[in-house]
Amino acid sequence: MPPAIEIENLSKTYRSLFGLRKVTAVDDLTLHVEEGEVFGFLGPNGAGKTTTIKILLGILYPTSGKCKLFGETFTSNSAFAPETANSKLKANIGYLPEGPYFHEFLTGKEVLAFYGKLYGIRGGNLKKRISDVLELVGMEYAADRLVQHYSKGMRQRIGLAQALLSDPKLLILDEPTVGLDPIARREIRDLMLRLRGLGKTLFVCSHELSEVEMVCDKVGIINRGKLIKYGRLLDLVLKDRAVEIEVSLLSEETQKKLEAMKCRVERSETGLTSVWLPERQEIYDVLEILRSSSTEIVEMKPKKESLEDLFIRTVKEEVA
Amino acid sequence: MNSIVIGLNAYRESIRRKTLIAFLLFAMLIIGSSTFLTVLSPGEEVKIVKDVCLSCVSFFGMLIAVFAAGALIPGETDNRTIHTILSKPLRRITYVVGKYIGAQLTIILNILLMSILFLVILYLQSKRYTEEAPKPFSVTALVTMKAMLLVYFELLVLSALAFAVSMLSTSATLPVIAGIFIYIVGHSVNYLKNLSEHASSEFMGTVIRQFYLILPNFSNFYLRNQLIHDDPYIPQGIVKLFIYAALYAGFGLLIGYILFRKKDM
Repeated sequence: MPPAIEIENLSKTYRSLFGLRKVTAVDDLTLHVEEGEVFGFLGPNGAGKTTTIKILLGILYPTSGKCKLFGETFTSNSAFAPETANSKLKANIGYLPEGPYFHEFLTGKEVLAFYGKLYGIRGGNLKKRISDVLELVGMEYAADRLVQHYSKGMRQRIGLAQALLSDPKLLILDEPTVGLDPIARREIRDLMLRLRGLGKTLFVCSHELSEVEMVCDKVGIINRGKLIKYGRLLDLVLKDRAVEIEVSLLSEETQKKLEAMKCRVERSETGLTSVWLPERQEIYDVLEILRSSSTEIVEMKPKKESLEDLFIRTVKEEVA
Repeated sequence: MNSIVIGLNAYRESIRRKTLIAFLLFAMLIIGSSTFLTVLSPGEEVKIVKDVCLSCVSFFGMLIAVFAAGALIPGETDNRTIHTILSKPLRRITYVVGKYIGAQLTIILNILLMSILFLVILYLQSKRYTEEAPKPFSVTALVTMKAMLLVYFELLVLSALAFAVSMLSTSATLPVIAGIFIYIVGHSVNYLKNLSEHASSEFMGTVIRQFYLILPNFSNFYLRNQLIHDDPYIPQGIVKLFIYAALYAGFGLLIGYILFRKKDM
């Protein structure tokens, strides 16, 4: 079975009006997302996430490289690339943009009817789909209200509903939980897990790393347009399993000894210092160094690096 | 089919625009109060009403057309609704044609409303000043409807050109200014012919003549004399004028699509 998404050497450079200034938003990006996988696409603001998504959807055109969806080439940088094929492939994609905006003069139901018709769904089938997705996102109670009276969370839910209208094989979600209260966030997360259970492929772009960690199989971290970390979530965080020892009054000399053992030392403003051991096996050696230097151990805990820790460390290393 | 869906949605959006509603209300106010202006020219009351109302429909029709056609896509780009729409199984040509249909529906509705009020005012004036309107009202109504139809033909072209310019812009300002400029130039094309004949050099004369040939001549669509004299005869013929307008509108739409086809949104 071909991957749901194949991105090969994708680059996008924005040029100013006369081509004097160039900004590379995506730089030689290559990644694959298998069918049925939940992929977390992470990166700081301006890293190139939304640009990549827009290229996948044919809203932007790449400078070079190509994308394949379900084995078929989707977009091309050729000025004369046929649009018809893209149009057919898009029937398999549901897209939730970041901070979705809809025509304010329509009700929630009318918004869904409009987008449903663009998918070619008509008549009774459309009514049923609208009713199904409204129930799925818990918005039946406000379906006849004008969108202009919706809260941010309600807009997000209607956005998700329109993405689900065609029962797509691939869902591209840009910040799906932004602006939602904890209950709604939990519901959206549960919905993503349910969709994963139904065999849907999810491409999730989010800053809510704890949410991503709970639903994603694979992650890619992008910074300044380049993919700097990519792989199965379990592999990435397990590799970095460590022990954190919190100590007070750590001397410079002891710190050097610890760093020689590849320990990471982080001094905080509280006066306490965290010592991170990359491998648990070396814990006795480290404790011996601390004991011999009369360093007071405040706390010692095994630490599995969270996705947030991984993200911050990866981005910081890249910047450095 | 999706063009119709996009078009109807664009129409619903346009008719709620406060700017367009304000233009329509202004136009209706001027048409409605045109009878008060007749005191300035006693004996020419019906002529004054026809003159004021036709100019009013043409001018406010122009403003409505350039705003309706020029603001649709920049507006949708600005509020990012376009991203959700273009992510659907929809070709860009469908989107462009749909938006243009929406603009046309808006223009037609506005022209219809102005025309109805124009006809009502004309009817009341022709009843009041019977000696000034010797022909039956049915003839006046026919010529007025033809005049309104030709105003629409003009707006069909103007809106297509403003629509094409809007593809280059992220705000409505540029297409609106361009639309007003095209309207002024389109109504001045006959002057270019005179200018080409009296140009200082042969080269300049040829250049100006080319502009005269290329630019749409909006004075073809302005039936002032026929309306004033209740003369239903149109020298160029309505079908020919429709073809003339449709060719220019098609050209504008094609340019618009070419600009939009590979545009990064």
